[in-house]
Amino acid sequence: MLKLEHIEKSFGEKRVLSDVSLWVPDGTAASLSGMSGSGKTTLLRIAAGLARPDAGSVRADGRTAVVFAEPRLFDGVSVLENVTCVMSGTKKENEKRAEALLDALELAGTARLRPRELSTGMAARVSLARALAYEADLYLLDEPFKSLDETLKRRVMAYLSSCFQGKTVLFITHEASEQAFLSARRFHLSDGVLSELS
Amino acid sequence: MRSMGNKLPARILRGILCLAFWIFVWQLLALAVRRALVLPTPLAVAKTLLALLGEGEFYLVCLWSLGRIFAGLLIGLLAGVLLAACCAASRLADALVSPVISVIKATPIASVIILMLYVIGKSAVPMVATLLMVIPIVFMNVRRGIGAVPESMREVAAVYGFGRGRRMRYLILPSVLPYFAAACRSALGLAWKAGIAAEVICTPALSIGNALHDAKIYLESEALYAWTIVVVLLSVLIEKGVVLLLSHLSEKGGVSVAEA
Repeated sequence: MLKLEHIEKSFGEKRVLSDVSLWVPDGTAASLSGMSGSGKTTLLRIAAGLARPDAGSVRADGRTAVVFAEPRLFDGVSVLENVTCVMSGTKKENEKRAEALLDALELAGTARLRPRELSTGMAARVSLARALAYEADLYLLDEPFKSLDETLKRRVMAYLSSCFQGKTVLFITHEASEQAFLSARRFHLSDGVLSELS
Repeated sequence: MRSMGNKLPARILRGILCLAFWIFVWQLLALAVRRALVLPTPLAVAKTLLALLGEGEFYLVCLWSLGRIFAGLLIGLLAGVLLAACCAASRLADALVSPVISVIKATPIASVIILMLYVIGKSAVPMVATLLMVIPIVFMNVRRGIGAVPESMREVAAVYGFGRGRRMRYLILPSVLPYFAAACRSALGLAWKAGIAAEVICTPALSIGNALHDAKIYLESEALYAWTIVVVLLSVLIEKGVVLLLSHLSEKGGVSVAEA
């Protein structure tokens, strides 16, 4: 479960979030849309515990995985190790599972590559694979499909739908078509004020 | 492969030609000066060097000097890294250690050597002088490397609950290693020079510094030049060896040492 209550956040004089309350019950998904600079990423960072609100409370149950807007992979290690680095099993088990995740996200054959050898879309999917490998209870995704073409996006969304069964998910998107992903409740941020779309 | 094979002899040939050019310049200068005490000819120095190479004690002297300076270098590297890690982890440690490092950095090495002659035995002074030269360089570079870990990657580590081991493997080491390699390269040259200077001042038995000192006292210019050539050659060889070792280690760790 993710529960944000009466969140306030300002950067200097600029108020970014104003009395924002958002509740995503266990096993459900919510999408968050809004113009650039409307405070979506700030809200996601607050939910992830990476930024402190000026006021209000955050409750996030269980393990949280975050997919950032940029892939944020470790350059010095292979794609495979970028996925296994968040896992806690034995090396062999982790590698097997990581390879399965990479295959499912259509990244077969990239395990031994370095992140710098990947395209933007591939790196974004490795970041998704890393989040899935963490086996979290709550997933916070910042525009996870933005660098994927339509066909690939649909296939990845279909795969993620099966992975996110029973998980709590909050994702940021600009695309109306993506808002229907996971039959999510839709929220919109405008001038720091959150509203639910029907 | 073919181009690599062609490039290597060309590089060696160019090096030999450059060396020959400077030996020729040296010969011209020696002929112009006409005072063997000030500038002996390359041939006279080469003869002395060959005679030195034929003596068993020459190798013993080199080994002892290398041993002293390497001991200082290794202790300095270790101490620099440990102090930098402590200072990065604790503000109190930083407040205590950073000013001391600044003082060590600013103190002339000759003052340190003379002061230490009163405190410790003369055979230990070159080692201590070396490590005091190395510590500030390593400390400052490693601090810079730790500080260069991107905030965005620290956030990834925080989100996925990385412990100390994983933070070290995925954040700290890749960031620090290029800076550490740069520090090693700088420290090596300085350590070698400081160590030999300390040996010249302290004149411990079985040391290159002592041999240089004796050559000066007995006005043996050829020996002075020959020993200086030995110092330079050893310095170049050691630097090449350390750079190769660091490159090998960084390849294993997946980090380029040329990044810093």
